[in-house]
Amino acid sequence: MITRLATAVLLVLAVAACGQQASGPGSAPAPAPAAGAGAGTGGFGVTERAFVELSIATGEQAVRLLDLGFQRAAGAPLRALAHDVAADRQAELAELRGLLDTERIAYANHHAGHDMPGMPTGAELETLAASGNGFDAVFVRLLRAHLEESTTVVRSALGSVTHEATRAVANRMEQGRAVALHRLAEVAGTG
Amino acid sequence: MRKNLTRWRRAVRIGLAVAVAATLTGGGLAANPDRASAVIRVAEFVAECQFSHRLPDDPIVLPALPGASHSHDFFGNRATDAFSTYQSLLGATGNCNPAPDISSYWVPTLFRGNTAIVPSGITFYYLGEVNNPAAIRSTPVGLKIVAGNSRATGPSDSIARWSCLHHGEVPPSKNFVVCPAGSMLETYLDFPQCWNGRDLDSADHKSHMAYPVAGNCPAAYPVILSKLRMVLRYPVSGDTSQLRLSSGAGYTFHGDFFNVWPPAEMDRRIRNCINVVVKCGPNGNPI
Repeated sequence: MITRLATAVLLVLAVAACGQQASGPGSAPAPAPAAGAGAGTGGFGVTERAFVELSIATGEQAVRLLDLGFQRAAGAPLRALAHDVAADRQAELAELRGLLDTERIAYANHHAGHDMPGMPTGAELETLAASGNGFDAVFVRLLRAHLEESTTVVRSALGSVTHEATRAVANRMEQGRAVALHRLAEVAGTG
Repeated sequence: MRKNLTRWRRAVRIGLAVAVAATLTGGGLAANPDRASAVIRVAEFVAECQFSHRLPDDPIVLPALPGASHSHDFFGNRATDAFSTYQSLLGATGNCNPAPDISSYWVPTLFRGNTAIVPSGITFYYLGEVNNPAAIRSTPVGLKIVAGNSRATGPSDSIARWSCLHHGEVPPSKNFVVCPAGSMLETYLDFPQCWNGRDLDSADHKSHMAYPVAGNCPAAYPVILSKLRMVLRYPVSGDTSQLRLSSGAGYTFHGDFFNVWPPAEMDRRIRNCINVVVKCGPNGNPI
C-alpha cells in the first residue's frame, strides 16, 4: 500500500524534476568535433608533432647511452659502433629539431623519466654504469633494445605520418637503425 | 552487483517512506529536514569499471602511433588504442557499470620489478565540488582531459595522492606509501573541470581545461563541468622499493579521459545528481 502511494509521490516528484529540466542549465554546448588523429592531411599534424617530440626525447637518452658506450666499452669495434651511432643520433636530432623550428614549435620534453619504447631509462643507464666487467654485454643489450624498439616506433610513424619532410626523416631513421642493427650483430657476434 | 541492488532497493524504500511522510505533513522537498536526510547531500554519481587491456598506446598524447607510448592500463571502452577517435569509440562497448558509459579511461601501468600489477578496484566519481553546482553542465562528448603531471620530477610539481585502503593512519603521499599487510595501495586523481567552452583538446592536451580557484572557474574557462575523480586500488601492500609506474616514480601518476558518455545519460545524472546535490549510484539514481 505504502509502495503504491510512494510511487504516486515519486511520479509527482519526477514530473517536477522534468519541469526543472527545461529551465535548468541543461547540457553544455556541443562543439564541432575536433580534427581527427591528424593523419592524412599532408600537414604537420598532431601525429607528426608527437612523433618528432618523442623521437627527440628518445634520441637524447640514446646519446647518453652511446656516449657511455664509447667511453667505457672494452671492445674496440663496439666503441667504434657507439661512436658512429651517436653521430647518427646527433644528426637525427638536428633534423628533428629543424622540423619543429620550421613549424615554429618550441620543443618540450613530454617523456622525461618515462619508460618509452626505445628510450634508455635513467635506471638502465645507472645499471650500465655500475656493470663493471659485464659492461659490454649490458651495453649490447641496451643498444639492441634501443635500436629495435625505436624501429617499431619509426615504422608506426611511417604508417600514419603524411607530412613529407617528416616522412623523409623517418625513412632515414629506419634505414640507419637497420644498418646499426646489422653492425651490432656482427660486433656482438665477434664478442 | 546483487548486493548493490539490494542496498539500493532498501535505500529507495526508505526514501519513499520519507517522501510519503514529507508529502503527508505538507513539507517541501528542500525545506523539510527529515526529507533532506533521506538523500545524501553530496553531488555525485559514479561509474565502476574494470581493467580492459594494456597497450603501449596513447590516443591523446601519441595519436596514430601504436607502440610508441609507455605502457597504459585501459578501462571502460574495450576498443581504445592509438587510433581511437570519438567515432571509433562510439562503435565499441565498455565494461563499466553503468553499461552506457563507454568512455575511455587510462593510466600508466604499475610495476613491481618487471611484473605489471592490475588495479583491482576502479571507480570513477563525477562530483560537484564547486561553489555553484547548479551551474554545472554535462561534459561534452569527445572531450579529452589529462590530469596529473607525467613529467613531475618530484613531489612539488605533482598532484598525485597515494594512500592505504582503510588505513587512514598512514599519511597520504605524492609518492607510493607502505601499506599494512591486508590493506591495498590506492591512488586518487582529480581532473580539471573548467572548460574553455570551445576546444575538445589542445596542443598540450591541458590548456583547454583548468582547475577551479576557490570553488569558481577562471574567466577564460567559463563552462563548469562535473569533476572526474579516479580512484584506483592496487592489490599491493608492504615494501614500495620495487614499485614504479611506466612513467616513473609515484608522483608521475597521471590519467586520461576520453568522454564517450551518451549525452542523455550524462544529462540525466547532471540534472538529478550534480545540480541538485544528491549522491547517486552507477545507475544515476539516488542511493
